Amino acid sequence: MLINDRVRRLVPVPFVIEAFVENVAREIGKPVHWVPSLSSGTGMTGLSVRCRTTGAAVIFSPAAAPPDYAAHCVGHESWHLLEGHLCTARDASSAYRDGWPGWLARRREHEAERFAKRIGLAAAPSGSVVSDDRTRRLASAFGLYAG
Amino acid sequence: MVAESSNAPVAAKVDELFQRRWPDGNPAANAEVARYVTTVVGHTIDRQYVWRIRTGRVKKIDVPVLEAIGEYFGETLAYFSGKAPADEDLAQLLAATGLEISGFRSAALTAAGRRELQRVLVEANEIMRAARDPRSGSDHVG
Repeated sequence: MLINDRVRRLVPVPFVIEAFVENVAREIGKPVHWVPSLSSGTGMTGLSVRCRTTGAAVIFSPAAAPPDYAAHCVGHESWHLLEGHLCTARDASSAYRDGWPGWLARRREHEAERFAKRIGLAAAPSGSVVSDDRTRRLASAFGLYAG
Repeated sequence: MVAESSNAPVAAKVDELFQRRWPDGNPAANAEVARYVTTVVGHTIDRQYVWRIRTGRVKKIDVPVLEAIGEYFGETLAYFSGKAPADEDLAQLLAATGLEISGFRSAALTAAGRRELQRVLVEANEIMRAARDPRSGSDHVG
């Protein structure tokens, strides 16, 4: 099964989010940056953005999320990158879409959630999900956020 | 709570949503939107009322009703006041930065969500630029 295979390949032991992101980058063959900078109160809990020319990607997760929740959000967005999904701001702006676009969007979200949950289950036996804070320190060095 | 009493611009904005969603028209459009709004606000909104909003005949529109209409079409209240970046603004930003969205985990976007999306797209562009050339020379728009 595709999801199970990917989980086995991508989940590091012990589970460190940065290492997981590096594995995702290796899987898609492009650089992937993780930036936990999404503000609370905006409704946004994850976003993955890709450069059209280079294929490099950035995954955003909530700034104040505990590591296990951050891992879930990063896992969810990773699935979109692994599957090469593409959506517009309009696609994302409403949960109430009918017809084919709505069905497709809901199916993709469902798959991404399944993958994220499997990531969490696979990571659990290796202990608590942790972040080595490299991403946060690197982004802080660029002055992207104060945290 | 009601929207401003001079509703010609709001009516035009509402009508624009219908035109955008159903460019060839749809005789059931008002009823469809009315059903959704009724579900959201918890009291009956009929299709004639929706039609009267679209044509500027409603002097004071309840904000929850307007919000529900916007929500149906994937827009927020800010769409009617123009305070947050609209889909077109975000699309222009994506085009200018050469970025595309792969995944998006969010409830229906609020005005704050749209501003946040705009902010992180700029942030992603900065990260891409820094990664491509630490001396900041790149073809990405800053």
